[in-house]
Amino acid sequence: MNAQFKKGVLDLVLLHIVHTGPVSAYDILVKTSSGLQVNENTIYPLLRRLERDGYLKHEKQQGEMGAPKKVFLLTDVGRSHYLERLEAWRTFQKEVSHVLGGADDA
Amino acid sequence: MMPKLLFLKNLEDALKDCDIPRAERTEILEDYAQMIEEATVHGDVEAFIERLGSPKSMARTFAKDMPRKKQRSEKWVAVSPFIALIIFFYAGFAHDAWHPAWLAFLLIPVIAILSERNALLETLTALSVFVVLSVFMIVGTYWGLWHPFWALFLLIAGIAFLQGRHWLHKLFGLYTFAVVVGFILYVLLIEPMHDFVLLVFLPIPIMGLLSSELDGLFRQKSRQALRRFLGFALFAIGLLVIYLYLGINAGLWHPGWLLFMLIPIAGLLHTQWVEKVSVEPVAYTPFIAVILFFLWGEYGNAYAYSWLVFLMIPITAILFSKD
Repeated sequence: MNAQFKKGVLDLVLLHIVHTGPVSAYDILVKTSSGLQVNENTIYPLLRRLERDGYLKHEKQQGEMGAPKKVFLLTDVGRSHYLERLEAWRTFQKEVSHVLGGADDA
Repeated sequence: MMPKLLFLKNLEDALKDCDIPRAERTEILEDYAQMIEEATVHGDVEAFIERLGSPKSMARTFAKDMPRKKQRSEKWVAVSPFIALIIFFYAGFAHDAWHPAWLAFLLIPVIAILSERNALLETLTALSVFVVLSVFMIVGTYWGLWHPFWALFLLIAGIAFLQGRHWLHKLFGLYTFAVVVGFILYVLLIEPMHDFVLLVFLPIPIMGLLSSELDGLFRQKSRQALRRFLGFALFAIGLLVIYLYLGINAGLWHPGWLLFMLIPIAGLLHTQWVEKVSVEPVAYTPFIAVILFFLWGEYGNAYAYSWLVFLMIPITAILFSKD
């Protein structure tokens, strides 16, 4: 799939992973790259950008190994942004499916 | 060195090279240290580091993503061709100084470099080509001092040395500055010049080689860095020899100095085709324009028209802009 296209939806994927609860950057990278063929180089910078834009925040959580671990969470703004993006994505998906409905037969 | 430490060290160097601010750098390195730590717990560390890719390209991604405050300076970049044209026409028509008024066109890349707001030394390095060229042209045109002021071009290497991290880099930079200033004063004040004085320049390409090795040791890529600098040092020495030959035997100090324009052009070609790092086409144009301007002006006796080649700078910038 086109890299530019993936880039466009990658922030939605990250927001989706984070919306389930506090999650570390490592887990985000592993989850994203296990489901999507993306360059892992691009995920962490995007995570930082989402934090800078106010959609994500981080906090330190006591890790299993003892050392505190940095985890990411959605902010309130991030949550509504995620829901908006998700809605937009679903609408887009429906519209594209509608147009491409008979594409498999071609 | 452990893969984790080596990766973090390389990443730190790459982030510094890309001028990522210290606070950001620290946070990025802490985050990657934690990620690698977690990968270690999952027994995945080496594969994980491999998947992360090269620290250099990671640092470039961060650099591209840094917030920039350059709306105002972008306006200056956009308006710079017009300012250059006004200065050029005013100096040409009012004072019949078409040459060296063409230097006004160098304002276009100079303003673009200043608008990037990079680190001071990086900005100075980028500007040095244009400042040196301007000083050289003015001194050469008005006082005929093409020789010894050609030595100013070595200051570009001097500034590049000063950017190195090792204390020896600073020493090489200071030596280059001292040699250039000393040489110019010597030639201007002491007659006749003894040829052996030229030997003071010999350590500079050697320092270029040593400098690359120091860099190589920092980045664990000494062989590649050494090859690159060896090639460039030989190329630069070759051009210097040709230039001195043309100057001494044929009096072609001017426009023979145009040969040195081939050094930045070769550097850009190497970056683009060998290192596979994309280079904006506009980066080539100041050097190509200077060469064409003088060759057309000097040998076609057409300085009144040859200035038009400088328009290739803004035209290329507009045609090949990615924005």
